[in-house]
Amino acid sequence: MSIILQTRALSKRYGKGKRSRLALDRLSLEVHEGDIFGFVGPNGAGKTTAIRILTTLLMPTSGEAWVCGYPVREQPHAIRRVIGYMPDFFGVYGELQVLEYLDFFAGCYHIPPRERPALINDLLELVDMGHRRHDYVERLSRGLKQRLSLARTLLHDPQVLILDEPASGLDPRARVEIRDLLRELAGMGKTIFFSTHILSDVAEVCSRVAILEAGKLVAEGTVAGLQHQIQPARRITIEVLGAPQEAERLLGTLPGLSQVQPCPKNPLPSPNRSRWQAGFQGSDADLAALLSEMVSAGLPVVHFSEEKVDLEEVFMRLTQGIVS
Amino acid sequence: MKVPARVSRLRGLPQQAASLFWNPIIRREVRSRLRSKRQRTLLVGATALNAVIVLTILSNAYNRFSFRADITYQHSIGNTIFYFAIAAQSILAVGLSPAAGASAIAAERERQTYDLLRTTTLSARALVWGKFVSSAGFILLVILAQTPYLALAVLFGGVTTSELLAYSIINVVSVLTYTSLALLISAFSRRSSSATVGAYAMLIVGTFILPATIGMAANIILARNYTYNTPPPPSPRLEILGQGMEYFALLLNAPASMIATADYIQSAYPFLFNHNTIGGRTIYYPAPWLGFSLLNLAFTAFFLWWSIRRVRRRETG
Repeated sequence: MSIILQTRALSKRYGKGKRSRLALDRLSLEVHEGDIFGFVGPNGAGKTTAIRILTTLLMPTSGEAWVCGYPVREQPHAIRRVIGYMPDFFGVYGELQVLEYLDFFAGCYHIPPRERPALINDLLELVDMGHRRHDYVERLSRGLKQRLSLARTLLHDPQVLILDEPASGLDPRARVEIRDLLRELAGMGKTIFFSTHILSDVAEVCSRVAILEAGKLVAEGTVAGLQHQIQPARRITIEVLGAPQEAERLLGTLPGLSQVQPCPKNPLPSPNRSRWQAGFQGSDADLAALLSEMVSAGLPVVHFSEEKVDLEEVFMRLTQGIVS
Repeated sequence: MKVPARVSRLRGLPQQAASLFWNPIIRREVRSRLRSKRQRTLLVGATALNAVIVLTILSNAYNRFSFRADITYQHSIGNTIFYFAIAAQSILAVGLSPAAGASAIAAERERQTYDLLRTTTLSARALVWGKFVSSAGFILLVILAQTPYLALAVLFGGVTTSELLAYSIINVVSVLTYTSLALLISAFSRRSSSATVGAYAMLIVGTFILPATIGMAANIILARNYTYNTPPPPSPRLEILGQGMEYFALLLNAPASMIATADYIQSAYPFLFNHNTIGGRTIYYPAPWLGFSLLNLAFTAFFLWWSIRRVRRRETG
């Protein structure tokens, strides 16, 4: 797959002299065609700065970035033709209706007037706002505004969508709807690059993730890859009936298990049970074999599960809470 | 659903020409302004206020004169209404143009739509031009709404077509210049309130303080030059410099240009006026209305060019 978006040692420093602030520190990353790329970081990490550079609104201090092969420094106009940008705020022309709002931006993209009605209808259907076409924009809820904004980014059929905090401030239903829309757009062949600090959104939709802190890239890869990076050994939780001492002895004899220890989390449903946590190295087949071996060894297993490190934990382990 | 690819088929010069007249910014601004209660109130209010004043002038005139069929009396009424209507247009031009231009680009920043526009394929030139045409166009509409009073003046007589044209041109050019100046300040401002204050301040400096300063300097040069009793004898060059400075100061101020125009407009040369120097040379200048228009149109072009440069430039932090 070709690289749609690339940065190489991209840096941005605001101000000059002693009071200057490095917002982006030698950021290098690649986004491939068809990716839903999550750009994660705490507030002040430099996400918006990077996005403003990629959308040609801001000049980098050093380094280079390319969007669809066009360098941001030299070919901003070419980049504007291939990107759809949605900022983290909704720019309101309150006095316009939904149709007029999209028609205005279609004009800004030089879409011929005769082609606009059909295009706008299609886009309103896509974002499920066909019934709100005559509503004034200022009267829409935040969720609807975000959907309208997403429709606006698609007017000129861009190759890549650059979205800054698209789910910020939305209620749970609107967030789920935006996530579904992003998946649908990815299915239509769009590459999506979006920043967020809502980690559940990233885990749900992203094919790749980059974590940024204090302007620096601290990790990049697939969600599963980052989880593996944080926790190379699998963690198994086992609940058994009977005396804990006997359970501990039996678990200690099983091959593949390491660091068997009582699990302090959550109260047990009955005093007759004990809960254990252990490390495990092996494939899914090895894991199934382990369970079978436990049962064969006479261990009364009532619960057996693998604990996955969620993205929140990955994020907390990789970042230190530094703000540039 | 597949969103079809849609790109502009126009390229080069035709695209540029189309952007002048088929500009989405102009269409949106016109739509917004006509939907805005404040703008409608302004248009109706200014026209209604002028109507009241014209009616008062007419009423006073009818009460004062007993020989109502007298042509001189008719011309006097026509003149009074004409100068009132022209003055009203000038006040509207000076009063409204800076506010209209200043809110153009800064307001986009305030409502956070500026970045959206800058990431579209709309050029900086189309953006600035659209803002300029829509802002100046609205003020010209307000001024145009006062035209019936000018027509009334023409009906009464005492007003020549050249006067009507010259003063109207000065007013239109004033609107263009002040709007473009305000637009430039708006392009540099984050808030429309600060842009508005800046635009009025620049207007006061540019049309009153600067011409007054240049005029005073010109008077000092001319006064020193004409003091015959002290050697050396008067210099024709200094005289031309002083006169030129006075003329330039005159052209910076619309009311002064109008007053000066009144002296020349009915002469044999409505486009030129002359001055005989001490050395016997005759220097020709464009008539004040023409000089004012040319100079201010040049300023307008410069302000627009600078605004485009500012909008085109990316933030550097």
